Amino acid sequence: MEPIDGLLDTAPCGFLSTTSGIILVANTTLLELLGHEPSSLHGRHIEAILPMISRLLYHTHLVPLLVMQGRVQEAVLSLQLRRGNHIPVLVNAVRRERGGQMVDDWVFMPMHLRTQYEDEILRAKKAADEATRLQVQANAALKEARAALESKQAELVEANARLEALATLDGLTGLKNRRIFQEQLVFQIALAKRTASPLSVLLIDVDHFKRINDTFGHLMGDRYLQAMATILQQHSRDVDIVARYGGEEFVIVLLNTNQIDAMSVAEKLRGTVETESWPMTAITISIGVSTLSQDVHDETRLLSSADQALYRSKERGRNCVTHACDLKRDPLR
Amino acid sequence: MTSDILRRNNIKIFGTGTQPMMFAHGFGCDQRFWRFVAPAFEDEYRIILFDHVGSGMSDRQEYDPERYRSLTGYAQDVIDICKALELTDVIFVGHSVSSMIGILASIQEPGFFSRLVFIGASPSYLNDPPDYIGGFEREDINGLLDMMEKNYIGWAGYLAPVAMKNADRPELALELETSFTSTNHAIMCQFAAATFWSDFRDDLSKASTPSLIMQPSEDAFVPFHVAEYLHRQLTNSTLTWMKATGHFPHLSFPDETIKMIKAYLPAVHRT
Repeated sequence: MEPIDGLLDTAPCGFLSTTSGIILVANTTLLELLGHEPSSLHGRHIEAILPMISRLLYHTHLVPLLVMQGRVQEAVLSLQLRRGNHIPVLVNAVRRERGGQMVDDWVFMPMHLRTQYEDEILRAKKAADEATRLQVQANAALKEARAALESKQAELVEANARLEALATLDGLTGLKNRRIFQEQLVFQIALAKRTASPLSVLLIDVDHFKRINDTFGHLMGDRYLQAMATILQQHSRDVDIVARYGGEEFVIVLLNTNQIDAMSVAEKLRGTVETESWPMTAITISIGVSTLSQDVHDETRLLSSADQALYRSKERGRNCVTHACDLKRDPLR
Repeated sequence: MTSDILRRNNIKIFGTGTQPMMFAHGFGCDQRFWRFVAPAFEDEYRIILFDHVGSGMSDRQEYDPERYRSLTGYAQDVIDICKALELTDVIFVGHSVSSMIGILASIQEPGFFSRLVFIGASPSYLNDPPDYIGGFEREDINGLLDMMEKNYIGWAGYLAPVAMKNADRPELALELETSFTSTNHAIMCQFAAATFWSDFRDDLSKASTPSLIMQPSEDAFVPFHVAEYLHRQLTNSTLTWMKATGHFPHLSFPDETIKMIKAYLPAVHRT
């Protein structure tokens, strides 16, 4: 056993010399720290004072450092007490040649407190890492939720558009319904007055439509109405307002159209319907025409005069066209 | 390509022989660990030393956490080296984890290797009772990895990056970035995990290259029945027990190590 310096023997740190891992000498401080009898470690492998995990660290980390760098600085490991517990220590070591052999000198400083702090910091660090991970996760979820919300909003906008269409269009024929027709008529009358342009309406009724329903059923009746809507649409300009007025009654607002032109449009429509090839039985229409004038200057008078003209067409035997301003001169009236 | 790999793995070649003899270091080490053994073979063989990526003087820029997540990445490196240097008939000497790396490489490219020599090899460190005792329980390995983390990174390592985030002193952050220390430590922790959680027992039967299993006495990492298990599972294997103790017989007992390897290798006819 190597002699040990008196001061080093009781210095406030554990001291150990090894060669090829075999303990040459240990100081009294270390022996007392670990609970060993004097010189009881001599000749044993350093593994004798290392718990399993520290033994592995000794082989994988400390020995390589001594071989490659000749020293170990501030390594952390545990020492095995003779009875029971482990004790965490800070380790410095140096490899040097002495007496013809390579000797490793080790110094151990117990560090209970530091280890406690360190464990707390590591725990806090792991908790912070976990919190960061959760935050990243939450952000991703939030982003997903926002995308979902945006897509829902888009759906809502689309649904609203559909609803708007449903509210303004007639379900069977796809023409404008009576409500939106009224709105647009009021607007167009105001516009026509301001620009001093003519405006006419055609009120159209399918003759004897009840017979078609009664004879061929309501489904066939619906098909007739749909076909009628198509004809009206095809024979109107884009600017004209074509609407279903109710039942088998339709209405067309002819913008920028005077009485003569309105009558010619109406007559053309009547002729088209008459010569159209219908699935079951031929039908005809009666039309009442009215044009904005000094007397007829709002939507109520325009529509009521058109209605009277239509009534007159029916009286005249149907399948004909009447203008409201001819009513007074008509001897039948 | 060849020069890339030479640089990546810090390859050193010497010796006057023709047949290549490659030495692969274990975990925590580098090629310098072969300095007492490799020169004994330089007259008869062409000696190839290298560092695993992340170890020694290898190019750490080449470290890819995905590739080196498992030992197969390191095995691919060995194959890369053989291809780059156009090696065949290689005698591969592996220490510790590099033994498994050699086995994996030989399974993938059996044509490259003529003999494998293992010092302190283990196909799996975990106990898997009742049939396999790797030597370690799960908590042992977790404890070791935790302690490595403390040693390689430590509380200071965790705090340093925070302390370095001084907006008014960007040179500090730069200094930290340019130092390889922090990345190096992370690499060592991943290498340790790849090593100690590995389980390649099922691959052993696929290996066919003749091999020598050198088992030191009192190896802290490899219980003696692991060496016997390896011998049973590897066809064409020879098991020899060393008088040398500890996990690094090639360092502490180079003479016995050299003698044993030479006895196993067929006599070389010098030209």
